[in-house]
Amino acid sequence: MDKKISKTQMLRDTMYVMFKDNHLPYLDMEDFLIMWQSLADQWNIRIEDDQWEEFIEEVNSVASNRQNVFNEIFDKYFI
Amino acid sequence: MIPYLNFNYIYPPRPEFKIPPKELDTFDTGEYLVQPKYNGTCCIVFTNGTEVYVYNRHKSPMAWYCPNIDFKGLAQSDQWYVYTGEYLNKGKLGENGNKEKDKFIIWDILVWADQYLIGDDLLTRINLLEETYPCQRGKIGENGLEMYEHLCHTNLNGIYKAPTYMNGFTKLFEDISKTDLYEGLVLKKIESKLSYGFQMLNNHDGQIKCRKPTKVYHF
Repeated sequence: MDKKISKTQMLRDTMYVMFKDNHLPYLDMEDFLIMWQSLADQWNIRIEDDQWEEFIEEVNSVASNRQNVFNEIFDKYFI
Repeated sequence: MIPYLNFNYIYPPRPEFKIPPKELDTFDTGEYLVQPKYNGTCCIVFTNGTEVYVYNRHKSPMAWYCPNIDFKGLAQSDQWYVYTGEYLNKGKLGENGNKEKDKFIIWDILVWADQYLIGDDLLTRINLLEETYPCQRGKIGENGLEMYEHLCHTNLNGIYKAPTYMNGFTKLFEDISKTDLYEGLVLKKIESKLSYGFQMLNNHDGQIKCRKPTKVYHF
């Protein structure tokens, strides 16, 4: 594991691959939310529940298929 | 009204101003009506029955929504119709304690039969909705009787309508506050006329939100 990557960056990259690469076709947004919250919790990354909800709302967009857009949205809530 | 003949994104009217629940009575004068505020994602649906575009309030198509929802059925003809509402995707608990998701709840219409309803007042639009989708609180579905107090069925799969209330705001707020799915109320000025939604902040002066207090946890 690259030690230069922070857990927040790892979470961001992991979320993007899970959500945008279409590896997990049986999951809906609530399923993603539960998995991401669990992982974030495991890695001691915490934001308020209402922030999670706003993040999910914003990231559920075709625009965020572009990783730079996804990252911008993520950073707004997590950095 | 102005013609709306091709898909063009319209920002939805959304409340910006807010009041605490204790002030609800001062607005319960006949000047406003209220609808429940649902805890989902604000969603705008554009359809002519053949094409359908499901967008969020950030002017981007939603990346994920349930394919079984009959969005195309919202078109009453082959003309354009634009609805705004709430897409339930967070799995919040509903009135009967079950998770509610993959439902689109209409709370306003912006375009009707190729006409952008600019200048039409709220009551005209609500009446149009009511005539098209008369309030039905109960429906027999695949899982038996499905009943709601603050949500109306339509005959379209996955499509619901927000009920509208003209008075009794405080009592209503207390009632819906018990349910996870409801965030509070949105008060809307009955005489407010629809104006252009070409930017994110639009039609906000005729709407006020009243939300449940956020839970505070002490560790």
